[in-house]
Amino acid sequence: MAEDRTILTDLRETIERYMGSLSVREAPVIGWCCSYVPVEILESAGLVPLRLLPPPPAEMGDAYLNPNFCGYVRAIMGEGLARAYPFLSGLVVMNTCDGMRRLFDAWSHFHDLSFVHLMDLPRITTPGAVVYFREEIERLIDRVSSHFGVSISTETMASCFRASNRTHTLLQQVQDLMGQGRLDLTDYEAIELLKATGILARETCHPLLKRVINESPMEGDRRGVPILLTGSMLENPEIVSMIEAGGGWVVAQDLCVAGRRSENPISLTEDPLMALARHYLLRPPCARMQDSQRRIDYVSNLVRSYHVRGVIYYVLKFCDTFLYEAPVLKQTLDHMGIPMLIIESEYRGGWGGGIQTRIQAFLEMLNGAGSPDQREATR
Amino acid sequence: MIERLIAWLIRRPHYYYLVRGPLRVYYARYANPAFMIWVSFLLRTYKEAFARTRPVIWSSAFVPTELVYGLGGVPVHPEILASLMAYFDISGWFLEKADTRISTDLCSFYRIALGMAMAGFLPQPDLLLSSSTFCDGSNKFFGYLSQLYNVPHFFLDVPYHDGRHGRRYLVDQLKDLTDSIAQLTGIPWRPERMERVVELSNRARGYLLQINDLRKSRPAPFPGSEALSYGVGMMFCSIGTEPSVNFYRALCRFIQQKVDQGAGYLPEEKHRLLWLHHIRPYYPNNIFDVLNGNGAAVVFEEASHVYWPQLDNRAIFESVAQKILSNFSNGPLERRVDNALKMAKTYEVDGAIHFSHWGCRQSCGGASVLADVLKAQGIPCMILDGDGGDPSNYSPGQTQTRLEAFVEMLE
Amino acid sequence: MNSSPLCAGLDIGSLSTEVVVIGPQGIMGYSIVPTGSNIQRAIQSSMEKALKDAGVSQSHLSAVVATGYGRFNLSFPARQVTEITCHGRGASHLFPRTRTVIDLGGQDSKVIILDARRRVVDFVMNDKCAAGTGRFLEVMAGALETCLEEMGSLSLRARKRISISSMCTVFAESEVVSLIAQGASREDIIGGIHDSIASRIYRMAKRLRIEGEITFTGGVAKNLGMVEVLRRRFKASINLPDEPQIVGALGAALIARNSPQPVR
Repeated sequence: MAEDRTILTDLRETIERYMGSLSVREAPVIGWCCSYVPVEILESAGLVPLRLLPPPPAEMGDAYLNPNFCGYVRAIMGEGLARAYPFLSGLVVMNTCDGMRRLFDAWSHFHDLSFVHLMDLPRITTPGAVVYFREEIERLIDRVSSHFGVSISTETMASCFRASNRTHTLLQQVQDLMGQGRLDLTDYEAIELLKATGILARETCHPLLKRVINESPMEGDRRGVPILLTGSMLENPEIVSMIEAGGGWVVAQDLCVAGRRSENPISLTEDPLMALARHYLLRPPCARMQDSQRRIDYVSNLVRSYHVRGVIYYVLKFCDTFLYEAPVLKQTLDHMGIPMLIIESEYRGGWGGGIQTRIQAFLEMLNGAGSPDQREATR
Repeated sequence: MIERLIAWLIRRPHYYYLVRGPLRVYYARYANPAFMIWVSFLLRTYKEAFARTRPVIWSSAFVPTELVYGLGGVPVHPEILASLMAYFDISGWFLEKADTRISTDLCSFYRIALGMAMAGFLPQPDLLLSSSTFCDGSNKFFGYLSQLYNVPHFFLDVPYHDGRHGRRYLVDQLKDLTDSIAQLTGIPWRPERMERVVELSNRARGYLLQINDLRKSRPAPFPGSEALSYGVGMMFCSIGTEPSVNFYRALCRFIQQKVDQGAGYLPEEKHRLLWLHHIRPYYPNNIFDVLNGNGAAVVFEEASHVYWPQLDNRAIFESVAQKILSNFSNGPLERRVDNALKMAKTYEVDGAIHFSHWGCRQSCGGASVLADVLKAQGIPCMILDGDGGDPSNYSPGQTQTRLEAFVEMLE
Repeated sequence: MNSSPLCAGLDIGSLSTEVVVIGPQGIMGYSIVPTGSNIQRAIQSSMEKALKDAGVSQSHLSAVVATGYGRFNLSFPARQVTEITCHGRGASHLFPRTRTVIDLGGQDSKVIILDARRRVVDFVMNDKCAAGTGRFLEVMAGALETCLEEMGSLSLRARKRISISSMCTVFAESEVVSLIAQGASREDIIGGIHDSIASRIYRMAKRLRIEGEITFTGGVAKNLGMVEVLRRRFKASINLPDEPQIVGALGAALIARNSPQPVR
């Protein structure tokens, strides 16, 4: 066995080094918590955007919000943030949902951070909505410029868009390789890598992505029952190990946190703010968007393209937007003959035997384990 | 079996004629004639909805009903009906059905409404109309119903900011929406019809302002528990109609009488409370008995606040957009907080109760901030956890203890 | 096929541990012991008892499958399979035409749907809260000063329908206390408790497509009062194994028999 370091070790060390560097960095670090935040604007302003993924804190911020709120939002309010991100200079919150909206309110009231900004996000994708979102992006630029005393030129924006498009291309390649079984990574490592792209600056994560792409073998191997992992957060990467251990193979993912990306790069030939507004608003939707059929069609297409045999739907407890969608999606997949397992996480890390049992039982079901007329192959 | 019989019965228009008489007699014990107007209004609306004499438009609570009436439709409000089912203590029936489809962590009014839809208790919709004020639940619930019933869902995406861009975004949506609905129903959009609706809406608003003014009197002439049930019900369902004007006028006169007599609704008013959140538990519960028993009057509630300016028929879409955007629960929490502080001062309250309804994240999420701000102004605020529609989440003993402890604190 | 098809299945639950040994003619022996606080000891003693009951020794076993919450705690080689698959397998072995299996456990309850070929095609679990499980019965038995074993027969003697509206075990307990204070009879209250559990289970089950024969497994299936109330709720005939508590272990043993890998 070669003793060269695995991608995972490298990734972990890179993240650690990077997070360490943020405390001594001059450029202000701006936290964001929803994949609809147009980080390219923050980059154009010379700021450092950072996807907030706090570890589940001991105290979950219930006192500021309410116990029946999504755990991600409560973790951000709770001490987890103070401990994990002491160098934060600002926060950009999207008006994604009631949880995020109240996070902004509670944060503004109880915590001390000089730059906290809420950006509105349309729920529909009509031309009027795109125009409105463009205006919101303009408002963000104005706010950022005046608060941090910077000016954002069209050239800087264009260059940031190009960098973003490069990330987009690399991620698309990684996703393709994932689907073909050509990543020389475990599913756990692949998902961690995808998550990291929200954390690391582009110049730091591009080399890692390129390396993974270059080191991919020519031949793919199908390693287990093809599973689509869909949902919002995945604070507990152990889930992916459980899927692998149970004989599943995460052939595709559709998670807010691992980059549910646009299918198209940011256009460089039109008004940049319009291009950006379109890029974000018209991309594959999160469940909070009103047109749930569009999302269901998107997921069904993923299932078909990647020849998925089972879908694992991983969402946070108390998330209204996903909770209403789940039964409709399940029904659609049912008609396609694809079973779906719904897991509601409390964002507490670790797992009760309950989650592990459900995942294992689901994979046993897909594998036909325990069926009386089936002889099982040794694994 | 009984279920199917009732579902069959309520679809027959004659049922409403039969029921109206006995209900009049039964509710005659209410000296307040406004209440009977509410009952008649409900009966008439549902008779029409089942008879399908006009397009049946299922609407969410914060869509201005002026729109629906202006479009020539009859509105059906699943959320309000759900609270009625709780009021008659039969919500459990519907919850059981709904729980086989959607999670129990969701708002019980949507769960009950889904159960009612599954049991055939709701009139078949021609279309659904909802707005994104005030919560995610309503957007997703109506979206879900749209797929269930296979009817179009017209959705108003209300912007967070009440600014120039936001208003234009909303006005454009309103214009498109009225066009599309008019095409679908075949009932053309008529300014004259809207003119009448606007006039009635503004008159009702006028009476409501008077009522709110009268309720400043000490002792409190009208119980918050009633304002939170049929007062709020009428506000959600009927603005823009004649019955709404009659209702508010009757209520105004009723309260005026009380004020003239110096009669409070409690024999001895020891504490004055403000109720926060638009709802209260509607199933039989002991909350108000405990409060009444301790001389704690709910003198006013944020639900009754008139947050919108008069509608202007000359700029109807801008006007309606303004009404929607003026809702203080839209946008930053400051608006709700400022409003609560103002009300607390105006009504000279000693304390506030925030009813944190299970599954209502938009409201509960703001409770801590509200309580904090009120406390800083010397107004203790109690956060009362509970459920507005699902009695299985209710513990009378615990609730009583907590309320009594709060009242003791005020003494 | 194994040359010597003696297999064992272990179901290591948080309350009790069961072992079933099967041979060419079917079940040769079984055991049920309380898990207690020492899982290793429970595993050991339940294995010993079952092997003794079967008249064989551990070395005769060609394959072992473990299921239940303690399935990863074995000190000897065995395959781990979830309780869902095992209960499905065990129930369909006893009742080949069953399509729905409802496991009424001490700490959780599950509903398992099988297709015509007896494969698991859907399932739902309730393991987050005590309502709808044996634990609820246990807590209530305490509040009513009776023992768990008596609850079933007492419920069958209920005269009046009392509804316990609270879904939460803690709230329900205080509801029961106030019912006692109001003078309601013990039998009626217990009847209400059974109705409440049945309602919880029914709601969970109805999330799936229930069809065909229903089989109950798990310790609470020994409570005939519960079986009766559920029979009325589902309006269907219910299959009841002679020993519902060992169905999981039986399923595990059957799966062991099907899997060809050596145990040593």
